[in-house]
Amino acid sequence: MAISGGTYRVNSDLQQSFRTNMETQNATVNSVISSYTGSADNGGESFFSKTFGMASSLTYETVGITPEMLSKITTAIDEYVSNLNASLDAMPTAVDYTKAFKGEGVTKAVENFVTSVKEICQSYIISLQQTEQQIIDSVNSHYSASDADLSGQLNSDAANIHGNA
Amino acid sequence: MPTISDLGYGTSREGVTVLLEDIKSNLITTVAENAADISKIEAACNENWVGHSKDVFLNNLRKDVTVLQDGLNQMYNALVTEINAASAAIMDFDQKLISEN
Repeated sequence: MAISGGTYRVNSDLQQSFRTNMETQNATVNSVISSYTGSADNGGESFFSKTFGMASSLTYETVGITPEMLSKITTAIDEYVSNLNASLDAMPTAVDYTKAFKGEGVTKAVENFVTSVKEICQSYIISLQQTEQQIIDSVNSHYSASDADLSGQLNSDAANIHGNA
Repeated sequence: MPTISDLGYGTSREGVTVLLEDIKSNLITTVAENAADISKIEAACNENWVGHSKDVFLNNLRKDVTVLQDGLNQMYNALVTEINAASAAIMDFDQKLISEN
């Protein structure tokens, strides 16, 4: 008796779900990343208050992340992905079913099952890695832009000081 | 009474139960446990990332882990149904042979 194993191939639904979460993630990260460069006027969320250790002189809570801090987070994510991949690689492609069935009917079903498990886990991993990369890009981009802005402002202030002298 | 290994064709109810437990422990449990263990990511984020974006990221990650685990459970339950149905069909076929004879 052949078993197709087709009924548990629910990958498309799961992939859609990951995509939905991912899109929510993207939208929110993009909007929240902008708060890194915010000021006390918008609730005191300042990228620099955290990045440049200015928190003690400010009355609002600090918000932000630096590329250096980000590397610790990406290391944790990479280790997590590595562990998950290792467990997927270690999955046997077949199980001993000889005590349950005489015949080879479940071979294909178990093979399909293993394939499906790996596929949805890979979809999840890819989604996580894409999010990770987007956070890296966003933080680096905003850090560079903010750093350049601050440098520009400091140069301007320095010019004023020089001009006032 | 012959065991299933003596048969040319057939199924064992007890063997099916053992098979399904083997599939769960060998093919699902480790993957699901590794996927669920996001503690190091949470710790790294909480120690190094301050703000609402961190909360959004972790909440979405937890949601995705839940979706993944639900998917694994759905697939396993579907496989259980399919294997049990196959076993039942074989037993039913065997019963009809007995009835006819």
